[in-house]
Amino acid sequence: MHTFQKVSAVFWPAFIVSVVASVILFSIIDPLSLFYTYDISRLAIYSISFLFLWLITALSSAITLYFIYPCKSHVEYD
Amino acid sequence: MEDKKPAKSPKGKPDSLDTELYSKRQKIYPREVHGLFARWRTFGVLTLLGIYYIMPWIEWGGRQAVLFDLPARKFYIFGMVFWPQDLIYLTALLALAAFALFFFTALAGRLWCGYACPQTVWTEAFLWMERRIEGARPQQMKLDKRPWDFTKYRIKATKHFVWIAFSLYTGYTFVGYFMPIKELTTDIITLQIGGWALFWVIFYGFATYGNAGWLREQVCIYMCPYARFQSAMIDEDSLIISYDEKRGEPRGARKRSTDPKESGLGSCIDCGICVQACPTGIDIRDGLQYQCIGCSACIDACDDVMDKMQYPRGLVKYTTLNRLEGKHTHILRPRILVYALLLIALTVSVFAAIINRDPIALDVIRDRNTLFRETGMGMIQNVYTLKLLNMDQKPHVYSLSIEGMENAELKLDVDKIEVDSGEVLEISARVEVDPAVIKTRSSEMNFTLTAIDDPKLTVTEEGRFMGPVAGR
Ligand code: SF4
Ligand code: SF4
Repeated sequence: MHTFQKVSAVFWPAFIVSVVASVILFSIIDPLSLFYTYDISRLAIYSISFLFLWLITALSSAITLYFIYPCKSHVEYD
Repeated sequence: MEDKKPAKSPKGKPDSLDTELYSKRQKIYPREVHGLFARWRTFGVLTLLGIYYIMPWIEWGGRQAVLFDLPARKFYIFGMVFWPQDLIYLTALLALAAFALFFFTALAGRLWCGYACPQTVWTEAFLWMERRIEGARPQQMKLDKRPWDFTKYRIKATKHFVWIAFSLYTGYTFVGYFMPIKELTTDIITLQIGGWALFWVIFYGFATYGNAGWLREQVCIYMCPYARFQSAMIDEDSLIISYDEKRGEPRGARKRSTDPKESGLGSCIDCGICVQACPTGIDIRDGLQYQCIGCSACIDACDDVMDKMQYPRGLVKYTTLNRLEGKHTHILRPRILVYALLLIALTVSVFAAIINRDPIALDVIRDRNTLFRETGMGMIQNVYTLKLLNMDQKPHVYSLSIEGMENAELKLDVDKIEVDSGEVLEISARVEVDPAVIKTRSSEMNFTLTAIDDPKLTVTEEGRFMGPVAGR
């Protein structure tokens, strides 16, 4: 695999999943009802949460990629 | 010869797919084509880009017609207002879109990829700019080969500048779907744009620039889930783009005056124009391949060559696997009928559900700081925040009542409950009960909201009343 494929295999599925997760999360929770004591906008909370989720899910993808690797040496490609 | 045949199954062989999938990328310079399908694609691209860039500016009933106002948690689609709790409708609409895509794939193959996918649409726009700035395919290749001198820097810088400007405008339009675009524009002009809004303009702009300028066919090959599973929906009767091998082979170069019959040659002059035109860099003559996005550039390219040779057109054409094998193509087949029926049923039920949506909703939120308190009159009081949603097209005045608790008294901080169309009203409500009637720590109680001018508009929500247990 080349760098581009590795990078997209880590960040791209993570991106899709964190978009879905953010939509579900914030359709249930209004961030302002949690952070009403702080001076922070909804957009900021949405954005930070999304980026954080993306980081976490990318981490998960990266671990998946890592675990896939040893298998490759057992499979012969022609 | 083996792999020159159009493969029986649209799926590639797994091992060859893997090695091809991860082989090194060669830069592709798609050759510009003209013809019937190129005109259709230009029409599709211009229509979709037009809709995308103009839509946020369209007004409906005094506000932006399509606005997913994230900061305000309200979604406007042509006079209809949705709230985050209506997510189910969005999910249903997405499911509907996915199903429609399955249906069209079974019927007409990858029409979506070739004419309507945002990846294709923006790549076409970027290719158009590239050709205006760098010139046609041969000039582009020459430019890339020549050493870096002033002219090369100038041309490349111009191209990237134009691309980036277009991308940023795209990002700005995108953000304009999620916050009122007029406010966004004013904020940008007065340099008061919020940090996060700016971040998303740049983020989306960068994604556009990267996907349409640099990654291009790699998005289709490595990143698109549809490209991976579309082959499951395609069968022998689906519309595909294919090379007519029987007619084309044996291929070979020849003079225009040569009679192919005498020389024993097929119609393919092996000029390679179809390969040069292909945006994913494949040779359609190798058969049906998963990299083929069905863009039909090779059809236009080949038809042009056929015209020049004075051969009949259609050596590369829209066809079906059955027709290629001389069999009959069945448009109406069980798969199509089942998909069509499901699609109709789903469409009708989704739209019926949206239209019949109760245009009223009530949210009861208990005060989270105190369970209950005793008033000066010796009553037990609970405090609630009520959220009233009016999703109707006109304002309403409502009455609010409670049931389920003996002698409970409802006190509001407003005299008249009036909610504008598409608005949410938050009011504070106190419920007072005589401690003598309280039998359990937590009792059930219902709030009922009814529109005074239309008693059919009514909704009941449960609330909990907490109190001390008397006598214990
Ligand atoms: S093979 Fe033809 S239809 Fe398929 S992607 Fe290439 S040019 Fe487009
Ligand atoms: S453009 Fe047509 S004639 Fe030329 S190589 Fe392709 S299929 Fe053959």
